[in-house]
Amino acid sequence: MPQITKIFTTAWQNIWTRTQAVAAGVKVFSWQTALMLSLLAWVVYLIVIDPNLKQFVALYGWGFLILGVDWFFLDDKEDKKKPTLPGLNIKLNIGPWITGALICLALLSYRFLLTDFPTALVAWPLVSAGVVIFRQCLRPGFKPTPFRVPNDAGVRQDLILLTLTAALFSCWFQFGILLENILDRYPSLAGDDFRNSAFVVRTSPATSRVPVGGTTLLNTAEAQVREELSGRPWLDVQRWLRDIEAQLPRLERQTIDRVYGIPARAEESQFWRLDADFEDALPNDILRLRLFWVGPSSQAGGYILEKVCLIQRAGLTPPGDAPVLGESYQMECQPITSNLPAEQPETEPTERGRIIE
Amino acid sequence: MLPTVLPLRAIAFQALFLLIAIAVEAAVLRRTLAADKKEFVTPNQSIQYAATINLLCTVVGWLAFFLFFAVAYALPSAWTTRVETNLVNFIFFDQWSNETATSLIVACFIMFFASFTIKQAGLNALRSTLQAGIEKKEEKKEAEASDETSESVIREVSPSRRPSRSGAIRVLRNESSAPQAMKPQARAVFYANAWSFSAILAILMFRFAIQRLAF
Repeated sequence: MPQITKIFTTAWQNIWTRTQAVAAGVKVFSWQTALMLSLLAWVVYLIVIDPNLKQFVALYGWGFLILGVDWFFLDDKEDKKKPTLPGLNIKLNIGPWITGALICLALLSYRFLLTDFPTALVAWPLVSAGVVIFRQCLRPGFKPTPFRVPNDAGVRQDLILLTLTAALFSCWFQFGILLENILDRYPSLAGDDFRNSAFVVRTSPATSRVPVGGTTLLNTAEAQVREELSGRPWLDVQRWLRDIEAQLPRLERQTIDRVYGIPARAEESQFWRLDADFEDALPNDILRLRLFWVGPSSQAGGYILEKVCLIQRAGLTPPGDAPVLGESYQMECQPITSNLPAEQPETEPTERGRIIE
Repeated sequence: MLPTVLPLRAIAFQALFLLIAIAVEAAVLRRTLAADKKEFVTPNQSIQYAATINLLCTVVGWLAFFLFFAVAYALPSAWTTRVETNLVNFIFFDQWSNETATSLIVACFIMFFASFTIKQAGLNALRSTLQAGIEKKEEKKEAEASDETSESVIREVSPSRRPSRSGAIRVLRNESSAPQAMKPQARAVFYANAWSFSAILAILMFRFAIQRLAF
């Protein structure tokens, strides 16, 4: 029993002396202290329950974290903390970038100035440049005016170039975000072929060449036609179909509204044109539903999607093709075909016709 | 998380064009300014000047581009939709309509003169920023030196009297500083701008020709 106690006490003494040694090695005014204070703040953050107090403590946590990390990278006489670019032997000064990222994250977490991730991404290079300018303009020691413009013209030139480069990086990020916005406005573009582009590359392979919106629209148009025909006697059905040209503008508007909602969920809705023609034929009447994409696309002039429907009077079918109960007709639609060279629909809806020549 | 498209090609092209423009403009600035005795620019300085004004120009150009989209989204009209469609066709698919080509040519003219203005203004601002503290120091030194010979008083009281040698240079410099000293710099920037635009245009034509040959 006393041996166990002895072992325990020596172990404890060992730990204690080691901790002391480590603690003695830490300078009071150093980045380690700042990081530990930050750690302490985060521990307090976990303990505290009141949300307002939590926010207040988190402010300290972020502040000391940013200070400590920046200090860590600044406290680097032999450039050991700067990774070298392989092959070129250029030291990368990553410190300001990391500090800038931390500042952006902190602002983002408080929803202060930066409210969403894309904005934070755009702000990041500029904030990092701001960190460097802050370091250069800070006066050593405690003075009534803590900042000064650097005396050395070379330093000033470097700072200007740095700021402009950071602004250019921000512009590139912003451009990427703008492209994403465009794809949100015109989701059907996402399936297209970008190989010719001088600006963009795809990050993931395209899922399908046929615009998703187009498929949905054609299926909806078919459903719309079925609804219109529902409950009509056969002669009326035929009359309606022969007169389908007159119904087209209304049919188009209703279909687009049904797919894209009112107001339209995506701006691409204005780039679709619906066309249909009807052919009295034997043994089946043929209804062709065509959808034109007149928006931006890798094929000059756009696409046509087509759906061919065969219509005949109910009851004339050979047994096996069960007609829809209670309807005077039966309609059978074939799968959508596409990627034909596009032409403009002959009956161009006038109110939308001027967007593309 | 990862976006569908990344503008990596645009970034590569822009980096290439910037490097070319900076190289060309630095050389032109150095030569044109060296021809003028008063403006002495070291090679290092000329590269820094060229880099600064080209980066400034690029950033301002991007801002104008984003401004167009901001306006187009805030106040949509038939015109903005058409321009946006053309731009999307151009950016994503490299598709040129006749309209795009025409407006690009017009835009290039505007861009040339706009970039000249921006570069000239930028270079002026840069030089004054860089010289802000230094000139004062030099003047102070000069003033101290002339104090010893007690000539500064005479010069300031009666400028018509023959000043000292260093004073003569300074008077010359001061006289020419306001309207005429801008001229050699403006000329240099104009030539530099013209040369870099030509270089970039040549590369774009080259790319266009290669594309045509490939198909």
